[in-house]
Amino acid sequence: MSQALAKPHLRDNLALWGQALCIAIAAQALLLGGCVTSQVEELRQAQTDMAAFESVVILGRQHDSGLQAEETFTNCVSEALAAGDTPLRVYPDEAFVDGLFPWFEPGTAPLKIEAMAQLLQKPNIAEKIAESHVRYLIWIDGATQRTGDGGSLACAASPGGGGCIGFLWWENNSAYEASIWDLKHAQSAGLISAEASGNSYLPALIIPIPLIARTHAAACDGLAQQLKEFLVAD
Amino acid sequence: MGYIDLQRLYLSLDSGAKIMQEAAITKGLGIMRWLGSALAASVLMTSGCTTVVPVQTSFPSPVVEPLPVDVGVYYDRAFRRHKYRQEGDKWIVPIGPASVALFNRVFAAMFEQATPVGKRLGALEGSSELDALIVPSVEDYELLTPAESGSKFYQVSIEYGMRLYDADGELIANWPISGHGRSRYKFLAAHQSLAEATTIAMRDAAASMIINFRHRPWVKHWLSQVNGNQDADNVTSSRKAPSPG
Repeated sequence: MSQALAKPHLRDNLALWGQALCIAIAAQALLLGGCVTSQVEELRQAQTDMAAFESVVILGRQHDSGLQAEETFTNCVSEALAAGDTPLRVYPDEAFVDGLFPWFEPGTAPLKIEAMAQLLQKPNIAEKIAESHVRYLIWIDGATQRTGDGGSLACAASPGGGGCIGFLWWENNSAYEASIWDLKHAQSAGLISAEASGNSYLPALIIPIPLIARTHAAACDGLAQQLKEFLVAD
Repeated sequence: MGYIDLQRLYLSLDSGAKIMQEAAITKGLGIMRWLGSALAASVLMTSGCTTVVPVQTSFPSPVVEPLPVDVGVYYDRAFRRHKYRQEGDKWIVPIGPASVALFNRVFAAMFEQATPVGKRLGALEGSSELDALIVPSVEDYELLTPAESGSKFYQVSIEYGMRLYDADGELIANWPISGHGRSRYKFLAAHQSLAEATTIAMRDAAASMIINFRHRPWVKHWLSQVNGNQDADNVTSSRKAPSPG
């Protein structure tokens, strides 16, 4: 009689332990991640300085032939510049483009600083930019792309439960370049490029455990940090 | 990074490994949750439902010096109610209301005065207030989905026709303006991507109109007739200023 009572109790305990183990594995997987290698390079073309009231605007290049940087990336860089111990004033990109419509549309935005200098000669445009206190216009170009993948994984489900078995991997490369234009002096201040690559893995033995290499975040952090140093360190 | 090609996913639904991989890469969601989303997406795609694309109807005011002419603008019924219907009615894109909103902004900034008029033929007869009448039309709208182009973008091309009549109702010129737009695919929000691509294409067409209009030779000729021999590149709102003496 007591054995019969103990069996369901034991089953419950085993189930609880099983769930706890699964949660622990999943939590560990979240803490772990694929390895990321990142590199940041800088080319300075002019000295930079910013008054307290001046701001920067981050715009993603959207011309047809380009890769078109993801909105999530430009937002990430903007947020990183506006945060931290030495935050910069970041002017909202949408407000900047709308306020200067139609001169910063994908088909009309200046691709080179010479074209920007010509645009600044138009009194109404120069006036709008002066009103916004935007000192530096930062163009972001680039993208995150898959550069390789492999492996296989299969999943099955039934009324009694389900699970997966297999192993997948993939390699991502995030490569971005920021062109910094000084709107006050109508000149290019410099270029900063950030590249991050890494392999992600998805082993699965009943439960898939993703080990993600966050190349996008690494490139964003690297670029934002270098931009901050570039703009205010001098 | 946050990208799953829904069409590809649909077409290769039997390729479990690839799908799992994309799910893990892009969202980092639990497999079960992702499978639920994929199943819902598949159901949506196969159910043949129609989605009305929410094209925005608010546009910024262009930064441009107005030309010293007063024009009337006539939007005919076909223009105001223009809708693009994709074959099979998967997408309906209401271009008309958005185009009216866009060109109201554009013409109000481009010309000293832009007045909507209720009829086209004879609208200017007996009116000394207007120098010309502009009649826009939607000539073409093309949509390319990520599945069709093999890219990560929805791509839209739009072409408007512009006709300019003088105060006597005679056609001065007609010319096309076109715009292109693309927007990155968003998982389970394809309608938003399509709306963004459409808005970008419309703004691109408007940008072309605003920037190039005053540099067209016949515009310069027309302006010189209306305002005397002034250079269209330099004329602004000086026509109404009292002349010296």
